[in-house]
Amino acid sequence: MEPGSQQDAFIEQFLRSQDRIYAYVVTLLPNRDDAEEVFQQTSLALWKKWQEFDATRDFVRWACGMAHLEVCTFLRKHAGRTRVNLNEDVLLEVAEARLQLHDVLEERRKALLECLGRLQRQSRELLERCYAGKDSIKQIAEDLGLRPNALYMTLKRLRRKLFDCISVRIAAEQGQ
Amino acid sequence: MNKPRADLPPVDAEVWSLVESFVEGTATEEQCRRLETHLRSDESVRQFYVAYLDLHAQLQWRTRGKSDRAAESAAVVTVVETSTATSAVKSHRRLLWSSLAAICSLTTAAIVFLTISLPRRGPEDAETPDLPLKPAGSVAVLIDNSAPVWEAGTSGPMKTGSYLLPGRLRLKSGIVEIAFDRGGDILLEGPADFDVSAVDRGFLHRGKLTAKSSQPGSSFFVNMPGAVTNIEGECGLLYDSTGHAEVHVFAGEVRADPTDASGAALPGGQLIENAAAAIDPSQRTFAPLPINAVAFARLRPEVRLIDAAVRDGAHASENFGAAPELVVKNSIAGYSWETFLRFDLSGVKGPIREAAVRLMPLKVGQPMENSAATVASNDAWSEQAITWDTRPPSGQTITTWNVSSLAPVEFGITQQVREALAGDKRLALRIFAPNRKRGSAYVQYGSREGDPNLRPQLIITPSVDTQVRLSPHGIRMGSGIFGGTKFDSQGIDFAAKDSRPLSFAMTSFRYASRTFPLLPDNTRLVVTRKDN
Repeated sequence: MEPGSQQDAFIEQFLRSQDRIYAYVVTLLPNRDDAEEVFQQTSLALWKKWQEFDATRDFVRWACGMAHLEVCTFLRKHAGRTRVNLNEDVLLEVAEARLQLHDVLEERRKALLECLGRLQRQSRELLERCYAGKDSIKQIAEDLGLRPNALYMTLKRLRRKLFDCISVRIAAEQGQ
Repeated sequence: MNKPRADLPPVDAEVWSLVESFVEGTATEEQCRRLETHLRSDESVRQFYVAYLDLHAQLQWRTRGKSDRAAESAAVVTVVETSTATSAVKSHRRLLWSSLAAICSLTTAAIVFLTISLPRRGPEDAETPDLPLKPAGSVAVLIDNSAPVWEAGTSGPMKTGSYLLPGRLRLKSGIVEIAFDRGGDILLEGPADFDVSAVDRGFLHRGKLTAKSSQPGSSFFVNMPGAVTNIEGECGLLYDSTGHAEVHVFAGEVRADPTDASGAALPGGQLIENAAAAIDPSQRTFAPLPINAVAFARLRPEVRLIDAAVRDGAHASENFGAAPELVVKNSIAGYSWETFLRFDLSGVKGPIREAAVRLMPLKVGQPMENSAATVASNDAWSEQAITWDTRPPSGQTITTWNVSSLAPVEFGITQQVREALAGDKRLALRIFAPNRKRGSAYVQYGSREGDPNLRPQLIITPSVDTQVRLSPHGIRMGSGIFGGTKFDSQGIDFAAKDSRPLSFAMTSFRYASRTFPLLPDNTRLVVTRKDN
């Protein structure tokens, strides 16, 4: 393949797959700040190594392999801190499960859009605010006159509602 | 391993609780180890964990860079959503009870209305175009403007619309535009050596450029060896191989400061406004110069454009400003697109006879109507930040047209351009579909980050033409205005039939969606002969 075409193929694949790569990182590091840091590092590593990308290979698998290395580097670098994370052997198991669930996750992602559309507007906006990461949960709870625990409970309830909605929609489609 | 099913096997309450604690960051060391035990031993737990964390990831991804507006809005409405837990709502309980009957009635009415009026879902996913989001780490977009030739060994994506990471650009010849994420815009002319440093900053090692801060009130920085410029307006910068540096300020003001070897500003800087100066980095001195507009004429288009499409629903907080296409679609929530254009007319000189916008459809899903409306508060959005949630309100519809083929769409906006020229010299438009039409009813237009021949154009016919000389050799042009008559790349061919130097009445020519002014007597427009 010509270098220009290889480059184009890389950019196209990267653009299409960024959310999958980010999700891979979050699966291993659920904290947003940690995931963002590792995702930035992974993106830079991918941009630096695009010439090594073989267009005949599965891009997401290749990129997630790089992301996995960055996650492990991150965990070793921050080994002494208080936030708990999964051990590396479990991360490998989870990573493998994630790659095998690729098609399932694609279906669930499509269903998520519909389920978000079914949430009440205020619930959707609460989720967006909490997930935007601009303010802490404590700050948002204070603004709303809530205790942080009550807000955590609300978020749990909304995530569970979405998770169940996705499962129901997929089950319905499979039943058709 | 068994082939995983899309509807995952159920897990027990303990696993739910452990995974949720882990997601919200409240899990203890003991809970984490307990979760690990489940994950090691049970495939269904691993599947559940991955699916739940993927949901968490999608929610994070969708809100990256989320605007404050939605957040503020959430702060207001959520008090009602979480009513049983809030003291604020307790104080309003009596009011709520007294309003309950009315709310119930309204809710029932709303449910009935929605049941009747909301369309049933169709295959919108497959029918709705998608645009790419900017990749993480990129700080600018490269826009190919005039036959750029790169130095051998220049690495990285160099085609139109490429997202740029911080790094060095070595341009042998031609002109490129670099649109920085914070709104700064550079036109760089080869030979040049330029560093894209950050979202609001570059470094000119050698060559010539014009820089413009496209967002009023925001700064844009360009360093040169021994000097840094803080640009709040438009200026030309020159740094040649002998170390000679010049700054020419055409609009607004530019703060120029001498710098040390590390690039840190030193005392002795100057605020330059509508003036030019030669900078001696070694002596840290500024010597006044006459403004040389001609030297930078090729880098100062008459009209500048920014454009972006926005999408509603789940994508309402996403920005598609760097995408190579624009989209218009009016459908159910999550599948509607609108497009916003903003023309900066500060380079337009003199009165105009007429003005028209030309859009180039790239794909038409189904014949449909599109409309254009002016946007009043046209400074309130930027290309790299506008989203559906933050899109500005628009005024009255100017015109409506039917799109059924890939033929260029053109509509007149002479009056609006005249009004903009008399005001802040900015004209913003909202392009939208006035009528809901589901399925594959959409139009994709070219954007300024896409193919140069397919970008939106503002075609201005000046009232008074100026005589300029043309030479029948050189580069091939895109489109232009001859004596008040518009022409495109085919239209120029008649000039090639004459082997003598040509002369036409014109004040500007357009190339790659930009209008370049032609100045009397000192501007030469070179034209490729078709038989060359």
